[in-house]
Amino acid sequence: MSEPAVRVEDLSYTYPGRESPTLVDISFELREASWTVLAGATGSGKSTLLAALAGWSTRSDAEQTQGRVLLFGRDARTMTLGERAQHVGLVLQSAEDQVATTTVEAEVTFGLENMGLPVDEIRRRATDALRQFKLENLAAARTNHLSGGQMQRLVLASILAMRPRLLLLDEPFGQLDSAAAAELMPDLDRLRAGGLTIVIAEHRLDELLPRADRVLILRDGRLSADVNTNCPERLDEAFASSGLEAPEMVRLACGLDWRRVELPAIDRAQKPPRPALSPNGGEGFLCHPLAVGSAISRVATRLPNHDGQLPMDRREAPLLRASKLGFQFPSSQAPLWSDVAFELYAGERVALVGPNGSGKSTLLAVLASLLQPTWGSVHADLPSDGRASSGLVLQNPDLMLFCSTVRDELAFGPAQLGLSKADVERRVSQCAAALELEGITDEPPLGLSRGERLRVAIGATMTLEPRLLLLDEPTTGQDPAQVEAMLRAVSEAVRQRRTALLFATHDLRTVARHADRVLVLGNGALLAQCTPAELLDDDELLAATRMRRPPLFEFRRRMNLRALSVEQLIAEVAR
Amino acid sequence: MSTYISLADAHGRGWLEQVDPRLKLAWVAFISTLSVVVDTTPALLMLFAVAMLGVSGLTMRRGSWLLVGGLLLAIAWGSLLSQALFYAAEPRTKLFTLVPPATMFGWPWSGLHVYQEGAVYGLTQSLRMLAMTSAGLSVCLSTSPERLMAALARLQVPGPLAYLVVVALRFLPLMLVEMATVRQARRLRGYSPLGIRLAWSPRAWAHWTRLEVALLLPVIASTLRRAQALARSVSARGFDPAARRTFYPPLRLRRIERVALVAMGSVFLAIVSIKIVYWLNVAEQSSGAGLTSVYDFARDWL
Repeated sequence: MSEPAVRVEDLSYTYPGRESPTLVDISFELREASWTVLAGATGSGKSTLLAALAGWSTRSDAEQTQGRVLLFGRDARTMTLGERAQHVGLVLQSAEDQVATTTVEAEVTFGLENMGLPVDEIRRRATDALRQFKLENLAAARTNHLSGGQMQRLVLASILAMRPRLLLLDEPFGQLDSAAAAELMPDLDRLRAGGLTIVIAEHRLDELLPRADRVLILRDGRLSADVNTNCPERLDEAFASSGLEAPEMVRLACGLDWRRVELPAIDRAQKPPRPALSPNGGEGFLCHPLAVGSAISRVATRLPNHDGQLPMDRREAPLLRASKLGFQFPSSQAPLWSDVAFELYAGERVALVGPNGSGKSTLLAVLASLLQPTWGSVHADLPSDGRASSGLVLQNPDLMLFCSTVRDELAFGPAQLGLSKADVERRVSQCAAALELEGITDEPPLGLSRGERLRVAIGATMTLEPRLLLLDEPTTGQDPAQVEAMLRAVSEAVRQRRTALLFATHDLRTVARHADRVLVLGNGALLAQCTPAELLDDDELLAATRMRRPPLFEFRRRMNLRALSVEQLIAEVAR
Repeated sequence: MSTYISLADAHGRGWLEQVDPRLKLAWVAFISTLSVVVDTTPALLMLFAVAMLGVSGLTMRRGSWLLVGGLLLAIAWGSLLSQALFYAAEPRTKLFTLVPPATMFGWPWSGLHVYQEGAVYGLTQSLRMLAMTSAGLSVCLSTSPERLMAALARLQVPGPLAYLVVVALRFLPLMLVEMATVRQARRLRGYSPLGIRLAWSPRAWAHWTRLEVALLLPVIASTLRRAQALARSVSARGFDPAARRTFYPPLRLRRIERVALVAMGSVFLAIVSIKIVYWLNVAEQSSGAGLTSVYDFARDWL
C-alpha cells in the first residue's frame, strides 16, 4: 500500500498566550490525489489546521505543537522551508494580501526564484503556469490592476508553478463572485485528475461536495466527523452532530430520498473517481448524489413556473428616490454606471447584486453621501429626529473599529448625534441585545473574532438608527450560521424601526433568504429591479452579471419549482 | 500600491524602465554625492539639469506629472522663502518688509523682511535638494520593487534589508488608503474634527488628540493581519531572505550601460579629486604651483 499524502498523528496546538488549545488530538490520513473538504464554524480551527499542514513559519509555532504531521512519508518538522514549499502549496483567503510582487510574471516566478531553479527552468514553468491559468496575455500586467478572479488565479498559478503535491486552500472563494469561483473549479478538477491532493476549507460547500471524496468537520478544535461525501444521510448526521446546519444540497438529497436513484457503478469508498472533465466542470459529477443533475433525476414531475410578485405595499411614499444617477471616476474614460434609477421604501430589505467591479460599493458610497454622483440626484425624505439619515457598514468592518471597548464603539455614533447620556445608553443596550454582543461589551473590538467584529461594526452603525442602512458585502468571510444570525437581527431592526436596508452581496443564497427585492447592477447600468425569485429564474440576467446559481437554485430552476428554501422545495416536490 | 505602481503609467514602458537598476542606483549615488560636493551655482545648475534627464525618461499620467512638478516647486519655494526671510550674511538688500520693527515683551525686534541675496542663495541651495530628489524620483518611479530587490541583492545589500524596502514600497501606500478609510468610517458615524460640538478647550483638544491617535489602531491591526498573511504566503513559497535565490529575469548590464557606468565613474572621480585638491589648498595643507589652473577651475566652476 502506498504512503498517504498526509498523515496527522495526535496533533494539538495552542496559540502563544492562550490557555485553551486551538487544535486538540487530531488524527487522520489523506490519500494522494484525493479531494478533502474541511468544514466547521468560524473559529473551529480550520485555518490553524491548514497552517500546521503547510508548516509553521516561526519556531515558536512549532514549539507550541504536539503530535506530528507526515507529508508524503516525511516528518514535516525535519523539512526545510524550501523542501516544504516543493511539497505543499498554500492559498489563503485574501488574494491581495498574498501577492508579494507588482507584476503578474514576477509573482509567478517568485516561488521558483526562491527554489533557486535555473533561469531557463523558471521561464519554462512560469510560461506553463500562465498558460494553464489563462494569464499569458497578462504577464506584464501590474498585479493591482487585476480583477478578484484574475488575482486568485494568479495566486494559484504562482503556487502551482512550484509543482506541489499537496494543495491547501483556505477559503479561496471568499472574495470572489460566483462566476469567478465557478471558473476556478475546472482548474482544480484538472489538477486533481493529474494527481494533486487537495484540502480545502470553504463555506460554499454545495459546489464543493460533489467534487470531494471526504469531509472533515472540526468543532472547537477537535475532529468531530470524518465522512465520505457519497452518503447524504451520513453527511447530514455528521453536520448535525457537529452542531452545524448541513449544506442545502445534503438536506435536499436527504429530503428527496436519494436511494431511489440508481447511481453508476463507482465504488467511491474504495477508489477516488477521476471525473470526466467538461467545459463547465459540472456535468462530470452528474453521478454524485449531491449533484444537481442527480437531484433532478429523482424528481419525475415538472411544476409550472410562477410570476414573481414584489412584496412591498407601494402606496406609501418612498424613503429614497435615485433619479438618473451616474458616476465616473475622474481618472476613468467611461462611467462606472449611469442612468441608475430606483426607489427604496421604509421597512424593506433590498439586495444589490452584480459582479466584482460593477460599482456596488460606489453606489452605496453615493447613497451614504460619501461621494457625489457625476450625474443625477438622490432625493431622500429622511427627517433627522435623533436618527441619522443613513449609515454605511464598509466592506472591511475592521477599519470601522477605533474605540477601546465594544460599548464605546456602539456609543460613539449616538453621542455624535448629541443625544442625552440616557438615550445613548438605551440604544447601546438595545443594540447589544439584538446583535448578541451583551457578553463582550467591555472587550476591545479588534481582539474579537471576525464574526463578532462585523456584528460590532453593524451595531455601531445601527445605534445611529439610520433611516437608510447600507451594508457592503456583509457576508464576505462569514460562515453561513453567522450570516444567518446577523441578518435575522438586522431584518428585525429594519422591521421595527421602519428602516430601509440595502445590502450589496454576491451570495445568491443570502439574497433568496433575506431580500424582498433585488437591484441588479452590471455592464455600467442598473440591469433590473426584481424579486429574488425572478433573478434566480432569469438565465440572461445571471449571465450578464456573471452570477451562477448555487446548486440548490439550479435544481429549482431546472425543475421550474417555486420555493426558495430546501424544506419548501422538498415539500413542493412531494406535492 | 507602491509609488511605482500608483504614479507610473500603467501602459507606457519608457526607456528608463529598461535600464538596469544597478546603474540607476549608481546614478542616485552619483547625483547625491556630487550635489554635496559641488558648491557653485553653475555646477549645481548643471547637476540639476543632468538629474532632470532621468525624470524626462519617466512615463506617467498627466496628474502624476503635475504631482512631481508640484513637489519640485515646493522644494524650491521652501528653500527660497526660508533663506529670503532669515538670511543673516552681509551685505543684504531688503526687497520688502513683511512685519515692521517693533518692541516685543520689552525687547526690540527688527521685524521680518525679504532679502534679495537670501532669495538667490536659497534658490541656489535648493538646487542640491532638487537634484537629489529628481534622481531619487526617477529611480523610484521607473523601477519595480522586485527589480530593486534584485539590484540590492547583487550589490550585496543584506537580504532582509532589501526585502524590507520592497515590502515597504508595496504596503505603505495601502496603509495610507486604509487610514483614509478609517477617517471616512468615523465621518459616517457623525464625527467631524471641526464640528461645532467640539468646543475649543483643553479638554476638547485632548479628546480630539485621542481620537486622532485612535485612527491608527485599526490600520495597525489591519497591517499586522496583512503582514501575517504575507509572511505565511511567502514562507509557503519557500522565501528565506537570508538564503541565495535566483533572480528572474537575470540582471545583465548592456554594453551601453557599461559605458555609461564607466563614464559616470570617471566624471565622479575627476570632480571629487579636483575638489579634494582644492580643499587641501584652501586649508593650506597642500599647494602646488602647477595646480593653479585646477584651483581656479574648482573655485569658479565647482
